[in-house]
Amino acid sequence: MKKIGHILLRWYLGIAAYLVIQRCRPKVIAIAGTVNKTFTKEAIETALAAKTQNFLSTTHTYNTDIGLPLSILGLSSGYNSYRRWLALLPHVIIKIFTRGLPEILILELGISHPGDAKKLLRIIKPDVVIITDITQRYRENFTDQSMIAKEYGYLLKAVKKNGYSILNYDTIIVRSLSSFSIRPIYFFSLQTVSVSEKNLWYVTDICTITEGIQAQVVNPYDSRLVSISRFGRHHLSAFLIADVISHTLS
Amino acid sequence: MEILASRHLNVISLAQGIPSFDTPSPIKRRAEIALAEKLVAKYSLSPGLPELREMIELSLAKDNIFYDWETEIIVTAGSIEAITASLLALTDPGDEVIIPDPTYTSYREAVRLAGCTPIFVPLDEEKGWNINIEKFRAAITSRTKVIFYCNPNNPTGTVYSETDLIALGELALEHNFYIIADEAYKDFIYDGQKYFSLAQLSKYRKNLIRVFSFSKPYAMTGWRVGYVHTDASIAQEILKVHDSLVTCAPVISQYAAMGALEMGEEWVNHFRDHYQKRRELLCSFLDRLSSKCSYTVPTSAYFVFPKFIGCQDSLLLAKDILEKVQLATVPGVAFGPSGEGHLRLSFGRSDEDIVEGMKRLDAYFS
Repeated sequence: MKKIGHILLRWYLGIAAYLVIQRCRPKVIAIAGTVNKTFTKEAIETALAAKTQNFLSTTHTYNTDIGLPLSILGLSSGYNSYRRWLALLPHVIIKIFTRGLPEILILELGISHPGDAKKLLRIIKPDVVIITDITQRYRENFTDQSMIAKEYGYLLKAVKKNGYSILNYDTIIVRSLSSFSIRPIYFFSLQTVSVSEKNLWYVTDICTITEGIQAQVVNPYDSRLVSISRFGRHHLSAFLIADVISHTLS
Repeated sequence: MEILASRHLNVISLAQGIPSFDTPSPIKRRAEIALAEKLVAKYSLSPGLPELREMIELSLAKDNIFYDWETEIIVTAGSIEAITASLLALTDPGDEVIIPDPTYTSYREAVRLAGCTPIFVPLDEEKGWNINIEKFRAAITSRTKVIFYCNPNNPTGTVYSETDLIALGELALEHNFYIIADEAYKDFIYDGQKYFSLAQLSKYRKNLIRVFSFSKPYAMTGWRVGYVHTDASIAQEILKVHDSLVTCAPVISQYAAMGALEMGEEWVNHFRDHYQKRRELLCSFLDRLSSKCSYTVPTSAYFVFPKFIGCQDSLLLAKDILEKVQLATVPGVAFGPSGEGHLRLSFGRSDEDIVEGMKRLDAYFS
C-alpha cells in the first residue's frame, strides 16, 4: 500500500511539474554528479545575478523524482507524514495553472540508482547539462562503471538543440561521457591541462589565502586572477562551471 | 547524581542534559532507509561520509562559517569524541588548558585524559556569567595550549558576546594557543539574542577548533554523532586521533545526521519554542523560591543555574533534595569551583516533569 502510494505520488507530482514546465518553457540548467551540485548551483546563481534576476533554482537539495517536481512547483515536502502529503495534493493542481517560472531554471538532478535519469527526464528536458564529478558514492547501486556512465549519458543525450554540456575533464569517466552527446561540450579542470581542448576552462596557481581560495582562471578567451571567499578546491570547480555559463549567456 | 537517583523510586530528574523529545520521525526514517539499503554495515571513510560532510559545509555556510568539507570537516562520535580527539592531537602532557568556570563537567576529564592541567578561570556571575577577559589574560602562562569554552555555556545558559569572543581570539593569536569552541547549544538561543562564532572570522581559523553535535538540536543524544571543523593543517592531526579512537562515527548515525540536515530545521524551531516556554515555566517556580535562591534568566541552552542562599556544599544539598523529595539535580560544584552553592536544573525535560520537579523543590524548602 505504501509502495503504491509512493508510485502514485511520484507520478502525480511528475505530471504536474511537467505541465508547468511545458506551459512556462524556461531554459533548464541541470546539475548532476555525485558531489558539489549545490555549491555549483550557488556559483551559477552568483554569476547569473550579475546579468539577470530572471532565474530560479532548486529549493534546498530537492533533486529526486519527488524533490525535483516540488522544487519546480514551489512546494515543500511532506516528508514522511501522510497528513502533510494529503494536504499538499490540492495545491499541486492549483500550481499547474498558477505557478509562474522565470526565464532560467537551475535544477539539481540526483542520480543514485539505475533508472533515475530517465525518471527525471520525464519531467524536464535540459538546455544545459553539467556533470560535476562522479565519485565512488552510490557505486554499490550500479553493476559496473559503464552502467554509471550510461545513466549519466541519458542526460547528455537529452540536451536540447542549441544546448550544451559542461563536463569535469579531470575525472576520466566524466570526460568520456562526451561520447554520448551530439551537442557542444565544455570542460573544466583543476589541473593545468596540456591538451588543446578549445572549450576548456581551467585553473593554475591554486593557493589558500586567509579569506579563502585563489587561482588563475584560464579560458579560451582570457586569463584572470580570481579569489573566492570559500575554502576547498571544489569551489573552484563550481566557479569554472559558472564562468562557462556566464560566458555562453553573454 | 543520575546513578544515585536510579536507586530511588518515583524520582523526577531535572539533572540530565538530554531533551525530552524523541528524534524526529524523518530523521529516523532516513536511518531506516539506509539500513534497508544495506548501507550501514561497513565503515565509512574516517572523516565521515562525503555526502554528510558536504551537507555540513552547506549548513555551516548558512551561519557564515566557511570550511572545506574534504579537508576540514570530520564527523565524530558525538561532540565529546571531537573534543577528546582535538585535545589529544593538540596538546602534550603537562600543558595547561584554560576553562571558564563554571562550565560543562566532562571537559575537565577530557583535559586530564590528555595529561593536561585544567586551569579554571571564573566567569563573572554578577555580570550574567560573562567572560572577564582580564582574568583570562592573567591565567595565560608559557604552558597554556588551549582555551576551551562552551558557547552557549552549559550550565549557565550564557551566550558570550562577540566582543569577548574576539578578545579571546586575539589572545590566542598573541600567545599562539588554540581555542576549542563547543557550540552544541547554538540553536537554542532565546529573546532575540545574537549568535556569534569566532569561526565566522577567517583570521582565527588556524587557531580555532569548533565542535558541534547533532544531539541537542535534533534530539539525537543516543545516536552519538557530531563534528569538528578547523583549518586543514589542524584537521589532519585531529583525524589521526579520531581514526585511532573510533575509526569512524557510527555509519547509521551519519545517515540519520544527513536526515537531520535535510529535514530537521522545522523540528529545531519547534524544540526551541518549547524550550523557551519551559524556561518560563521553570523560572516561574524559581520566582516563588526567591527567598531561597537567586538566578540569572538563561538566554540559551536549557539549564537554569540558581544559587541557593546559605548553601556551602551543593553536592550535599543535591543529595539531600534527592533523598527527601526524590528530585535529581546536578550540584553546581560539578561544573567548577565557581559553581559551588548552585544547582543545575534542566528545562529540557517535559512540562510534567518540570512542574512535578519544581513542586518537590518547593516542598523541600517549605
